[in-house]
Amino acid sequence: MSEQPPKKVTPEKSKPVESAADLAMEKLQDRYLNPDLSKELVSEINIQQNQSVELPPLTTAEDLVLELPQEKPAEIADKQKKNIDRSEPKEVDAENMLTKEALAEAGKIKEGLSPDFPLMESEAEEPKEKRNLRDNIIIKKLEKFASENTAFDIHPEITPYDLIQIIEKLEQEKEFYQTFNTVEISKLKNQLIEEEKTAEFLKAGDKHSEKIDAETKEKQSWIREKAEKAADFYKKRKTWEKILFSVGCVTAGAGAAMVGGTAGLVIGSAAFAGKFAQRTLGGLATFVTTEALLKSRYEKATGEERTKFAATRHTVEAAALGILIGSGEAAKAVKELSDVTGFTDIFKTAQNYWFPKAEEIKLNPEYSKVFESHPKNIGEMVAGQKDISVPNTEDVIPATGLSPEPALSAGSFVETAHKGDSVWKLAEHQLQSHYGEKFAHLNEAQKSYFIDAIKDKIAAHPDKFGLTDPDHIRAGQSIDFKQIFENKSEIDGVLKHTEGLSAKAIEHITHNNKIIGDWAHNHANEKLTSAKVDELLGGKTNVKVESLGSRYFINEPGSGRIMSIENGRITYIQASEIKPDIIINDWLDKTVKIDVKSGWFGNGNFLKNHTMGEVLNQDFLKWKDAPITAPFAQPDYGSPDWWVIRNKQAIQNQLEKLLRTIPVSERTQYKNMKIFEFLSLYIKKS
Amino acid sequence: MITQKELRRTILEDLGIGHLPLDTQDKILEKLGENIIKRITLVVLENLPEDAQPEFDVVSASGDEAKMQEFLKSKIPNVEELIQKAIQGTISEFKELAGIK
Repeated sequence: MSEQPPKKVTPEKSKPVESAADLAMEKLQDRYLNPDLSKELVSEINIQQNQSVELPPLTTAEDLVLELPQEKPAEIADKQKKNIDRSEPKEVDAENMLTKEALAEAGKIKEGLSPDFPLMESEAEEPKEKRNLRDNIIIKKLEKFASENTAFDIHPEITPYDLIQIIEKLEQEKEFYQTFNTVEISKLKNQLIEEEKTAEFLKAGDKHSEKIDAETKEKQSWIREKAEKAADFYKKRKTWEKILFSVGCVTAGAGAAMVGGTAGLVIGSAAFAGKFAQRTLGGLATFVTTEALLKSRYEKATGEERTKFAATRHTVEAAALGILIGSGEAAKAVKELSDVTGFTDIFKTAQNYWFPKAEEIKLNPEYSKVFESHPKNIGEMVAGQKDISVPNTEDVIPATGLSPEPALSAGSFVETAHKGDSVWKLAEHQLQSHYGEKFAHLNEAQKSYFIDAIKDKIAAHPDKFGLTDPDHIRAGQSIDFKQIFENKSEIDGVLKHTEGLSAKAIEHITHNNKIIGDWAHNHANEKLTSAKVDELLGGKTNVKVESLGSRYFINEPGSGRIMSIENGRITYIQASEIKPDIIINDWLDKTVKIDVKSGWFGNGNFLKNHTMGEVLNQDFLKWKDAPITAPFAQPDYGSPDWWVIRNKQAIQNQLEKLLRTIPVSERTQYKNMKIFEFLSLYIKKS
Repeated sequence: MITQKELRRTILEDLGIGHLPLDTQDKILEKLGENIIKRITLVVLENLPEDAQPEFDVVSASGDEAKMQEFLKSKIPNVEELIQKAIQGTISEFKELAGIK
């Protein structure tokens, strides 16, 4: 072993202190830290060593690690000597040597020793002390570094494992804070700026409001009162109505500058601004009031909640009234704004109220009736013409809220069949229209006789009326009754005869009905057949008898109406009403609250082509046009797709309810059953 | 010809609120509308001759906007210009208060 002179280290010129701490740290850095953090740690340690110190003739880093305490202090001293001698160089397994025990030993800090304690020149003389000093320096430096850079305290008993963890933690924290600084803080900062700006804008709106309120207070009471009422009126409007108005005003205020071209000149004109301001609000007010009135009347008349169709029809009527008061210009303007502004969410909602879509009109003939009842109004509203007469509210409010009756104008002979109509029903409408009060005053038997007489004329020559089978008339098919009613004297004669029906004849009709009813009542376990009816009435009658549960339906071909007998109680209904699909539709309408006439459930195909399992599946409620990126997106409120999903939800809920009434063990058998079949069973059972 | 998107952007940018979140835009538009309607009412009614006030009440109670339109035009010949100026003035005021140039 040869003695080496102590090395003088000057930080400015030579390599930084190569203390045990530096070397051990380098080991750790090499193994566990990234280069940037390593540099920082080394730099930090170097700062601590920023002074000239006398270093003993140290060995290499590997040697140093090897020198760390092993099992016995005596052996350590021997090894140290051997290493210093370098007489027997050996393979170094630094990883294994840097054991927990080794540094735990190193962690035993000797109190009172300064980290800057000058190292002994001769390590061979006091290897243990020197080693302890080095260890002490390592710990102290790391402790200082850690206390300055982390929230962790370095315990005197700290182990190398702990040190590694601390360093790793430091690295992680550094990375986190770097990310946080660059991304999160920047986000938060922007968010705060946005919030401040938003608050400023809202504050500006409030200040503006206060300013106008102050102006209002200075006005005479009459003006003040009106201004306050106007503000109240506005505040009570729905959000979309308010925004609609505001956007309209902004556009009207800016006009050509904003919109450009001729449209901009029109929209930006004083006349437009004035009319828009007054009429839009006036129209909305009337709309809201009228719609509410229609709803209230409907529910009062029927004692039921409105169906979707009734609500839609009322809305269109109310909107027609609301917008038409004044002129159609405001309505046209609103539509134009809707078309060009792209404020789709707001305007779509508004437009759905004001302008029923062409497809919906096609699908739902009842819409066209609303239009027909105000042909000029609606047409001119869309066309933007002026001087439209204001319709009388009473004229368009239905007497009852049931499926809208055609608004027959006096003298009209053409009847168009809707779903569920029959020749009998259309003939009845004609008589109501042409014979009004006279027809209304007839009793039931007389009415039946009169309607039958009209129906018989069609049944005698159906081809003359465009029919092949008077018992079957399709929705949309028209019958022109003119050829019947143009012979006024003949029909008047039938009426006269009807009115003159003898008490005996009326009694005969009533009597026959009673015979059948009584028989059905008294023979609950026996089937009523057409032959039985013939037998009961004493001759061939051509009646057809069908049964549904305990209910009998006695149908005289061509009459279009059916006598229903249930437990001896006789009622008359339209032939179509006993068909299962009509019964199901009735259930959909009254229980599920789905308007079967206008909705896609009503055509029967849906119910017949879809199984219970399909409808009760969650996917059934998914919006087919939902964007791929937003699979749970929902269609715009009030849009046709929105209605479809709403109806789907309603029918799903009701089917689930029905299914729950069936024992669990039996439910699976319905999974693949068509809904129509299931409902037919359910309704029969119930 | 201006496109839908452009016009929408123009309206919001003209108000200086195009960069704000949608719900904030809605709130501002709602408030602006309220201020506009109040200002319109003030401007129109203070230009209405005092002796016409009772008649205004009658026409107003009828709920007939067309009649109201005719009435106002007969009493205030430049009513439409007044309304337009009231709208423009109110928007300008709002922009000024909100520090929008």
